[in-house]
Amino acid sequence: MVASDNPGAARQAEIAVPATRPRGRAAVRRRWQAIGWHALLIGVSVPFVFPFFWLLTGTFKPSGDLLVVPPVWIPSHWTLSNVYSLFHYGDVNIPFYAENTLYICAFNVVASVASCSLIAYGFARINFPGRNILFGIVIATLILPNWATLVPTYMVFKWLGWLGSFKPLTFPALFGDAFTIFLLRQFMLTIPHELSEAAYIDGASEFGIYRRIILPLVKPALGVAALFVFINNYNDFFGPLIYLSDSGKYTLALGAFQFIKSRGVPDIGAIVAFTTLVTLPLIVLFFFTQRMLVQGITLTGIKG
Amino acid sequence: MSARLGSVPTRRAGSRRFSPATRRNLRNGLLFISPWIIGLLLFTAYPIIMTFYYSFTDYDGVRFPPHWLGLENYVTLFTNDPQFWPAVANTLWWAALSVPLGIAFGVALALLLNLRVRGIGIYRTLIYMPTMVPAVGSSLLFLWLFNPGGGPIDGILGALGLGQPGWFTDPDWSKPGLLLLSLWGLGGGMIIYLAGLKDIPVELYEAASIDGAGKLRGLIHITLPLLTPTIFFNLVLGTIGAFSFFSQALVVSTAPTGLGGGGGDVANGSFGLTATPGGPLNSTLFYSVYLYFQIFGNFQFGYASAMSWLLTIVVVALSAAIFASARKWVYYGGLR
Repeated sequence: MVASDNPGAARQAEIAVPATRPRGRAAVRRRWQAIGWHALLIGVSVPFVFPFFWLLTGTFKPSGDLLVVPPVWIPSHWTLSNVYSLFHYGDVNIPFYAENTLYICAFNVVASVASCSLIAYGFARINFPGRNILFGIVIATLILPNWATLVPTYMVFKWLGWLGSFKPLTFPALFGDAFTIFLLRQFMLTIPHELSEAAYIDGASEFGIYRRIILPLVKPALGVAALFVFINNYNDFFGPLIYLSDSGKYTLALGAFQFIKSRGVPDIGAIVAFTTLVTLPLIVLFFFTQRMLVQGITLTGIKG
Repeated sequence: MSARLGSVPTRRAGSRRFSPATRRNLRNGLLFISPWIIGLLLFTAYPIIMTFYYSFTDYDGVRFPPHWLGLENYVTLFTNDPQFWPAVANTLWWAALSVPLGIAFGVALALLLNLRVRGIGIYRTLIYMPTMVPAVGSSLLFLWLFNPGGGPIDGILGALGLGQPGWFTDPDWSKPGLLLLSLWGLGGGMIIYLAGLKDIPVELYEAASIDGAGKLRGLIHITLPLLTPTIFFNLVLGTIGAFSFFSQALVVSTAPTGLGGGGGDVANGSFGLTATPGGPLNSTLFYSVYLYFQIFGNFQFGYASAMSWLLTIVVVALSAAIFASARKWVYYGGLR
């Protein structure tokens, strides 16, 4: 740093060529400041990251390393025995759980996106009397706790003979959910009305405008909605807990919960492997869809 | 939301109420939203009314119609249920701590992650990542991290010469443990505040600094006021969520003590609950956990309906109160 003894010149250089790296005492100070910020950021990140580190290394630790005093930080040797043991319980069928989870998620993604895009279109693009009151009710249902409707809903599914099947978890998706409707409506509101009007003058029907004009334009939003529906259904623990009783119908989340309860002596290795298995798909999904996710959250202010 | 698009029915002299165009819109609009209307009637309106009705009966899910009890369920809840008030107290504790802490740390994190530092995106990703972990996964993970018999947290605390709490096995520490679990998922709120921060025009800070205001005054007089709509939104949703807090509490309280859990309901792996969840010593018996037990453990559908109805009233009243308070502290001027 030659210029440090001549701050005036350094400043002049800075003004003249702002794109180049600033030199001098100010630059040194700024560098230290940056290092300080990074130190703080790293310090803050540690508690958020550490559980992942522990889970990931734990998955490959021999089960003797998992719950001992003092804790074992680095695996004494790397092994797949935890994963192996999880897949060799007679009453635990991971592929089944995964298939069930995927079925519920896939059905609900398609059903929700279809129903909610129609409903959102009605609320965003058609100016009909009473619309704002009805949309207020959509928002109000976001506030309502699940418990307000649980017992009678459960009984209806019981009368229909649907308990133990996937239907209570999938059928309601056909009627839309407040959050997804809200999300898609927000996107649809941003499309200029002139587009619909032009199509209308050309003789397009309302459904035609929805199909040919609006849906193609909100494709990214449909992706965001699909992503949220997928994540929510993958994470759903309560629905499967109350509606599914046969272990052949368990989802991954419910399977993991039942697994820790159903054994006298818990197999910590298998539990760790199960935890990783439940968690990993969403983390992977997150890395591929980060941008979409943040976009959806930003637009609605709701985190799914 | 969109007052400028609000409907203005055009009245025709002496003829029908709506013009043909409005009538067409009404027909099409209702047609498009008809799935939602059916769902509303089927899955919201009907169940709410029935919950209200059941709450005055001894409904057990089998005998129908059930016996009419009048207010007996409510009276029992308030005067003669040894678990009701602990459940209420736990839930109030939870709402009073998890919501404000979540907002305070969430805003602080967002401010920190709004810095213009190289690689800031990586930090954002790392801090957001925990919100992607399913509730069951994060609960199992934290049971293990906080296990008093070999978990790393007590290991670190021990190495530092600090106390080693029993966390989810100890009635004094189970709720704080859950609180840490919920704060781990702070990133979800952080992202929303971050978006709010990005909406604040830079010119405001420039004007303030020309007027001689420092960073701190900028934070107090510009950033926080302009962030209040976002905070308000999170306060409403966070409070509603806190009163229905369930999944993590159920998992940690029913996990065997050998796993560092509360040890409730381990007698069999089938669906019948043989002991109340919410252990140890009712310390994690949150309102929703108790409700769950009354429905699926005791099959007291009528009694549970009374509990559900009470919860609904409290949540709706609280939301209304927060909305009413908004005028005093939420800043809506300037922007839009």
